[in-house]
Amino acid sequence: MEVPDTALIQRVLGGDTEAYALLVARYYDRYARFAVNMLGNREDAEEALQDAFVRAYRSLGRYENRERFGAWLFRILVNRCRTTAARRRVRERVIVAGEEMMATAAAPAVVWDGFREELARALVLLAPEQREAFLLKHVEDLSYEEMSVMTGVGVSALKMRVQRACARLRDLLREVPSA
Amino acid sequence: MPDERYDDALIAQVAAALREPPAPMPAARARVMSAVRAAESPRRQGGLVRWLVRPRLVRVQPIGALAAAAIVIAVIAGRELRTAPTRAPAAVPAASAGAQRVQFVYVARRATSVALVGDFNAWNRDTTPLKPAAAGVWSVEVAIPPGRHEYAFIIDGRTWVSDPTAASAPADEFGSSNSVVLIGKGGS
Repeated sequence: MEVPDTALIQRVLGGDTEAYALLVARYYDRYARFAVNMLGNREDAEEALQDAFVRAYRSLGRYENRERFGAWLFRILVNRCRTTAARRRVRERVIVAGEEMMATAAAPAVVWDGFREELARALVLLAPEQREAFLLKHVEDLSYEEMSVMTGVGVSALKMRVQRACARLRDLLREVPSA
Repeated sequence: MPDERYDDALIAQVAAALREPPAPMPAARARVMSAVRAAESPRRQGGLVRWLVRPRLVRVQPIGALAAAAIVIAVIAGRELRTAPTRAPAAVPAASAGAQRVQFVYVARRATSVALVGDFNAWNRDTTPLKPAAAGVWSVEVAIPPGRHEYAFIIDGRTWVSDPTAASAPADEFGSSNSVVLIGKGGS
């Protein structure tokens, strides 16, 4: 039987740092998907994930069971992905100019064939707030209310972002043959 | 409910492709734990308060209960007499080593609530509300550990805004930038 998150958190707060490794093992791969999809490459995703786990660890004393640990951690990760993306964007502004070159620079290190490769490029071309909303809704299966709590953005604005993301993806992928 | 979520087959196909998990990252996971071991250990917050309010069975004799009630009344009366002339203090989180007290102020005349969120309170909108003063001035004082911290205000529980008085605000591609406060050597 799996040890509940709350029991592991109590162990960590009691000084058993290694109990946190079980929480890392439980959530890392689950949330790596969002980070990789959001940031477009594994290096930035790993940075955001590590930052989120360390910040959650340091703040564990303030975690108050009012929401699931996983949801709390995911909220921190979403915020770290924003920060990482913003930092990368500033870096790329210095290094390259032009949307086409920026998309190339941000293309995933993992090479996919056909549809997946074009999908990765299309995601990079979405506005970041649209990409975030689309991933939370259609990939992570959050409700608009959950997304609103997580992002601090109103439900109607989130619906608009998702709709725009879908429209943009349709435009970008219309001519791409399916895998 | 696929029909509600997906308005066409292409979007469903995109979602399915993006749901595939990335390849496992065991080395990255190991690096997380290395960073965790090097980080400052988390501390329980409010341990004394939790101990005080924890339910417990107390057996008392009737005469003992009367004496205890008298003591409680005396203590409360004493507190009232001591604190009545002073202004109620703002909620301030427990200080950590080297923390500095920082006052955050936001002016919002028509707001019904203003909350402070930042990496120092795990972006929790419930833990650090600002209190209204005169003429729409909201403020709160917080003990913040040394380092660079990002923060923002939430107006009426839904609108995130940066601090217009912050010395620097990093570029945020989402259009609602965080503000930055520096604490410690060389900070403010």
